[in-house]
Amino acid sequence: MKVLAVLGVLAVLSGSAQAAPFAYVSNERSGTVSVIDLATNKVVSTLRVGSRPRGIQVNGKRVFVALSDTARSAQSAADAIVAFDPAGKRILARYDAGSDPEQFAVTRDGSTLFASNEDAGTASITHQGKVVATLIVGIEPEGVAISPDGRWVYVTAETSNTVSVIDTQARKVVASFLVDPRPRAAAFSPKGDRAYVTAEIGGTVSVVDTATHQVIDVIDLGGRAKPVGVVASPDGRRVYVANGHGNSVAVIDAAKGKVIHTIPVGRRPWGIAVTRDGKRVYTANGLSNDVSVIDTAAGRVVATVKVGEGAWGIAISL
Amino acid sequence: MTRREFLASLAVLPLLGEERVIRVGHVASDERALRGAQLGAEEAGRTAGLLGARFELVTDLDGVMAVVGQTERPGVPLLTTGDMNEPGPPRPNVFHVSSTPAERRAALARWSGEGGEVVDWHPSLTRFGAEQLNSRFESRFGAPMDSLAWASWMAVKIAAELALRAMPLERLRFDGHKGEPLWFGEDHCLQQPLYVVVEGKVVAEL
Repeated sequence: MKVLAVLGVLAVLSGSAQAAPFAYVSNERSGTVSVIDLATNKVVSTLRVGSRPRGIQVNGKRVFVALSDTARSAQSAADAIVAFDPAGKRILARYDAGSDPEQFAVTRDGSTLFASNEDAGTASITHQGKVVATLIVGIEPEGVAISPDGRWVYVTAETSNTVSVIDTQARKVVASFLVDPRPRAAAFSPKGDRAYVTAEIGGTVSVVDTATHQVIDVIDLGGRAKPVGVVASPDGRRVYVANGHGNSVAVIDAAKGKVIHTIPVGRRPWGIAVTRDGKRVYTANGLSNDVSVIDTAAGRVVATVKVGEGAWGIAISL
Repeated sequence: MTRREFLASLAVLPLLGEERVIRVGHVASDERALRGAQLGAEEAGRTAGLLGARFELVTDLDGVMAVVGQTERPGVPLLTTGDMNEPGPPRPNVFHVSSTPAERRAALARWSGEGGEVVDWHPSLTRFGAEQLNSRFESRFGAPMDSLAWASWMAVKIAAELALRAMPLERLRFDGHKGEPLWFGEDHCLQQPLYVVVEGKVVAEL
């Protein structure tokens, strides 16, 4: 009995350690994921995951990262989405997600993945480890986002300047609409009533009414902004945009539909994520190989964390 | 493009109708131009299909909404591609996608090296999605995408966007996989980065 009780306590302790909030950064050129402890902003683990890790997502129990080979338009064993444990110690599963999966979304229960296959021009749906649908979307699909209720998945396409809407129940594309040139990423508001789509060459964010899948506003980011990653704050009041070549983060007041602040960060921020309390925003900076930590109240970078080569995507524990 | 104009353009989209056909004319004999325009047409067809429209690239210029190449059609926008003399003062409905000799001379003057040739595109470009475009062209035709093929692809894409977005050409911004928005200036020439090539290698972007 005593032994069992001790084991029980240990299990609880290790469980709570694993639940600590982390940021996970995919390093495209290093083939690794850096795990950052949000309490200390230090890298606590670096997991070797495989070739060209890019899109990265967390669903609570596991972390998922998309891998791909360097060959175009051909699927190989290197193309996959792998899942690993929250502490970033070991890979738990490997899933087929079609050719060269780049970005993806995962359902809350972790059972279903929606991935963009850039060169194939498709979106793959993987359910319980098997590809169950391959959908034609726009040309050079890239950004993928799932609505908070799990009903819709938006897939942006860089060359056709479109967003395709996947009905996750029907597993079909049910609508498509135009946005500004070279849409790179999409994010839903916490309530799910709005989606925000960045256009890298357009230098804008399109605001989409998700009830009708129509663009209702276009926010000009101005200047040298080349927006890539986008995320909405947990309270929905702010939208944060990684400006890529602009080396900054744009802070948008969601109600006003305007940029209210632009914060310099590291070089070439692509991925962006916000903490659950909304107090910090993290960017993965592809050219400076680091992560910028923004204090959202102060509106400035308060820490810079060195990660691997070619930092690409970032996700934060739920 | 202002926000209001963009939203106004979107309001037009539902009026396109389910069977909207976008017809663009292209008359050319050069294989490179034909291939570029063909890839452009296939991609425009896919985009139009997603939006409930149909795209056709035709050689019969009756009823086309735009022409790509060098054949002028009264009252129809012409997107010029390929070699030409200096275009002279801007004319309504004539827009130049390929760079003009004067633009290439100006670019060469900005570059301080020797023996360079200025091009609109090169099959060795990789940044800003150029690698993806070069790869699509190469795998489709088994040949590299050169300047004329790129300009023909770009002109068809511009014609398709003009129809799908229902906005004046002067107001539109385009992605030509060059990392910067492309648009038509007051001289009706496409404002675009150009590249200096020496011994088959891109040595500068201007």
